[in-house]
Amino acid sequence: MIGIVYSGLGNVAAVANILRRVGADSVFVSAPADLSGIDALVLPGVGAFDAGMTALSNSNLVEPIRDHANQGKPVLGICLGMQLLSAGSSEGTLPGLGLIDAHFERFDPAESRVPYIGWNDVHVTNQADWFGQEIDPRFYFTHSYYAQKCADSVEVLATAENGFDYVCAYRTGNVMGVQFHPEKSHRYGYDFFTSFVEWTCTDPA
Amino acid sequence: MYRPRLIPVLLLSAGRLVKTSKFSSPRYVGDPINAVRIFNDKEVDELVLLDIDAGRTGVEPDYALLEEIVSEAFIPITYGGGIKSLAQARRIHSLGIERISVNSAAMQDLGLVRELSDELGASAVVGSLDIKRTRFHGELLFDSARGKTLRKRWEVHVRELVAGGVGEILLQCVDRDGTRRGLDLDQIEKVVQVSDVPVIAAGGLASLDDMQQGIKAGAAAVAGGAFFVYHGKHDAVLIQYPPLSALGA
Repeated sequence: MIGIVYSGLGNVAAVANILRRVGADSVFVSAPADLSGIDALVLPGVGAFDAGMTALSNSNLVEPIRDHANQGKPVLGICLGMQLLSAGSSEGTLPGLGLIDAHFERFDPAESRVPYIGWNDVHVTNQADWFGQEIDPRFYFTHSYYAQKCADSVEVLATAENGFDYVCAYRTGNVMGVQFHPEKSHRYGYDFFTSFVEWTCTDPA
Repeated sequence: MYRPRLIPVLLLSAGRLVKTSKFSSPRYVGDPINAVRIFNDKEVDELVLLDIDAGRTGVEPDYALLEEIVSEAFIPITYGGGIKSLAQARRIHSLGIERISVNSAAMQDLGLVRELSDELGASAVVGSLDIKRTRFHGELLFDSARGKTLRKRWEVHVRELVAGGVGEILLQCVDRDGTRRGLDLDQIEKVVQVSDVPVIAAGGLASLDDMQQGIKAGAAAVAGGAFFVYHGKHDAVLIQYPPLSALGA
């Protein structure tokens, strides 16, 4: 079963809707007890970094999410969710979940669009077929911060351009994050979530 | 590559899809659930849904309808109409609608804009602003909820919205609404100059050439209503959206 983290924030139903569209059931995870029986977690998120971390800690979900990830079970962070997986962001003062060794920085208005709101081409750098059959995948983005620093342990899955090329999808083992909104990117999103469901249903052993 | 967005604006009234002309005479054009499904299949860049009753009568947004509309829409959606509190915005958000547009409420209470921006993030908050040309007083802010122009200068309002934390401005030029006479480029330029955040320009869109001119005038995105739901001289209802190849992708 796929769990969608819902700590009172975020467009959670959109993720449930597209999972249903690709044939996967999901439930909302709002408290630690909701994690029992969950094979994979989606951490959606819209909003500010500290507000997102505060909402997770108010729901007592910070440690349970880390435990879930440390057990080797898949986690997907979307938009702010991708950022929350990291060590932190200059948008806030609270530390992130620390599951991916990266740090987020604000785009510089002198060289980039801030905020970036709209569609963008996504350049897949990894051989893994995360983005389905589409040759030129496009996704919807809405953000002002990006993964500026990524440690060597971070596998870059895709980049996008906003004045320069930046990391828009990354992974460390069973934990991955995407800066775009696959749940709002119609057929590119269907492909992406089809891959995600396949990934989460595959026994790594 | 970045490409400016082309955004259909759909008006909801009593659970139906309507189209206005200069912000009045709403005409029934179809079922919103069906229309949104068609726009989803046409892979639109984004949709804006505005409930023209909720703002005017102060009733709650129609959550059940919105939930049904978005359950099969896998595209970015902005909702506006009757949002007066953070709790309402959160609820809309949780249905799967990522952006909230505020208009009337922001005229009285800029604290609401701040609150929404702090919690949902600036890019999730759109400041909607309607401007009407008047014969004796130039361009004035128009309060569609009360159907009248306001004394407050629109320049002041734009600056306040931006300072309050909106991520984008949705500019609707009232006199062009539903006319398909082309965008009010002069007005767009003026608002873009005052706004530090991207501007979505609406009112009068009739062609992709109009869109290009709007972008040249400084808009980050162009929105329309009649252009996407009417066809031909006699305004036959037909839902349409240009293919990606025509949008210069």
